[in-house]
Amino acid sequence: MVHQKMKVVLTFFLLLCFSTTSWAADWKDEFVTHLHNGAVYVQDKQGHDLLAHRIHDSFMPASIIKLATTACALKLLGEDFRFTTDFYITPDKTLIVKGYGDPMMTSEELAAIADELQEKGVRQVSGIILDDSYFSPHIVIDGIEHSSNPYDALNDALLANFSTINIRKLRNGRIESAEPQTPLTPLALEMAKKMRVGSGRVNLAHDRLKAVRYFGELLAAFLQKENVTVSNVANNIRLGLVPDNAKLIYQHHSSHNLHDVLLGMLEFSNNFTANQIFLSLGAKVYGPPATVEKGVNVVSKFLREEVGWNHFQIAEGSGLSRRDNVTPFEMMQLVRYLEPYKELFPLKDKDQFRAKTGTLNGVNTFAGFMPVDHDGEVRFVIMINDQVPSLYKFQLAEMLQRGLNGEPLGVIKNPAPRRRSQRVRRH
Amino acid sequence: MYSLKINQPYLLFFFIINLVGLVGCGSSNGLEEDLTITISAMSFSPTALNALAGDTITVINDDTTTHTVTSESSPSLFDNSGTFDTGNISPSGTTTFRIPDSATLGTIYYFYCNQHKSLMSTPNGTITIQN
Repeated sequence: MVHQKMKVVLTFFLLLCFSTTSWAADWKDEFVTHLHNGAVYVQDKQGHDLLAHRIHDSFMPASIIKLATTACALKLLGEDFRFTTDFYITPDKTLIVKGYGDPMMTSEELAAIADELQEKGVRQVSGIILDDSYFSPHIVIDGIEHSSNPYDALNDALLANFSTINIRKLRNGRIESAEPQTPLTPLALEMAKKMRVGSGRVNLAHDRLKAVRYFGELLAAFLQKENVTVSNVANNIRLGLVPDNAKLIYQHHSSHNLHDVLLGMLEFSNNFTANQIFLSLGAKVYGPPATVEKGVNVVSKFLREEVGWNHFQIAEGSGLSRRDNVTPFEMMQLVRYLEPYKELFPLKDKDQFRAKTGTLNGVNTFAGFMPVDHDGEVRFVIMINDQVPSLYKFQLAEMLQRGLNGEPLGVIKNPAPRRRSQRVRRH
Repeated sequence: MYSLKINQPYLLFFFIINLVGLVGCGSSNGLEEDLTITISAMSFSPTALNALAGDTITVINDDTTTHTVTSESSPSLFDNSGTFDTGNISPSGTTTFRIPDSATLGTIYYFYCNQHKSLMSTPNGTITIQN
């Protein structure tokens, strides 16, 4: 009789174990069918694999490669690093500005600089020389297109407001600055003439001379606000090197440290900032001028030696290039490397996940940290190189979370692959 | 015949001044070597210096990130050979380390940054023990 009861209990437990194992296998098998041409990798806090599918295959990462730029910058520049900009004056009152690639040189920063220069006794400026020689003039970022979109903005050592102008054109033809802190400059007026009615942020169309000129015009406008006389602004701003007779009068340290810059860069997936940092890393180790090749060499070396990457290729620092490729296994290594800086990962999908997204036409990626019921949190990497809607990664991550929590997987809305002709914005 | 009279207290003063000068030249080895390693822009400067056994080397971190000066068995081995190690030096920080008293003439100590290894612009430096 006792034996009979034990048999029943044992059978019950065996069936339970079998069904649990079978269910676990089932949800994972079902989940990977939603990946299309993609991969998934999930690890618990202790580094045990919870789900691994195609983790050693190479995929285009899109913007999750910004995590590589982030990690390298933290290592080589340090969290408290601040970009600098030097200001010189010559005996004939020419103001010279030498830039070192500060990506956060905004109107607010220029206003503070003008105030500081006035405090240092600058009352009159007969001309402005802009020295951007810290970056090579021949920088071409693979993947950047010739468009007026802000995410296609040019990289240079001396640029203002992310190399873009925010302007508004009214129905009556009037043109005004679309942001109160930024004065309207002659170049902004010139650019606005080509605009339709409405407001928008346009980049300076890959014209380095225009982009640097815009910096000079903005600085002149802020100096004039400080009652500094700037003679003949339109004709007295030019590119050049710091002359021998120039005296350093002020070194501006950005009001944003690297931690803040990275936080914003990852939150808004700012390609311009990512590549400014990427280029600066090359110049820091190999000396100026910054080039894409130097950036590639430094970041690649860092990834190989510090993170343990072996099967990858990077062509720039933002993820715009389709020549960037990496395996989910390596991305997981990078997520682990960055765990002490978890707060830098943006909160995504209604603040559910602390993770970085990547989106290009035919590329949908997501990597970071996901809260789950039992383990508290897991690390995850999803990489899809297929035509799926841009929000597909969020739906997949939610489904993955349900699976890890032992809930029914549910369905993905609108899972149909996109047509190849459809463009996806990059972020 | 002309004879030079030397004032003895003056001679003593002159001797002391010279002695102070020798001691205060910044190096105990009399080589007038500046025993300072400065780190900036991912580089050691100088990358080769001479010292005596027992000398104290000053390290200034003029970079924006943490560095170390750590001994290694041979160039680019990055193995912390244990002879000296400053530990982490924060940006703008300064520290010192001592060359072992037992260091013998002609010994070359190699050093590297344990934080950045080959990522440094100058991955290795040397300290040569001289007379």
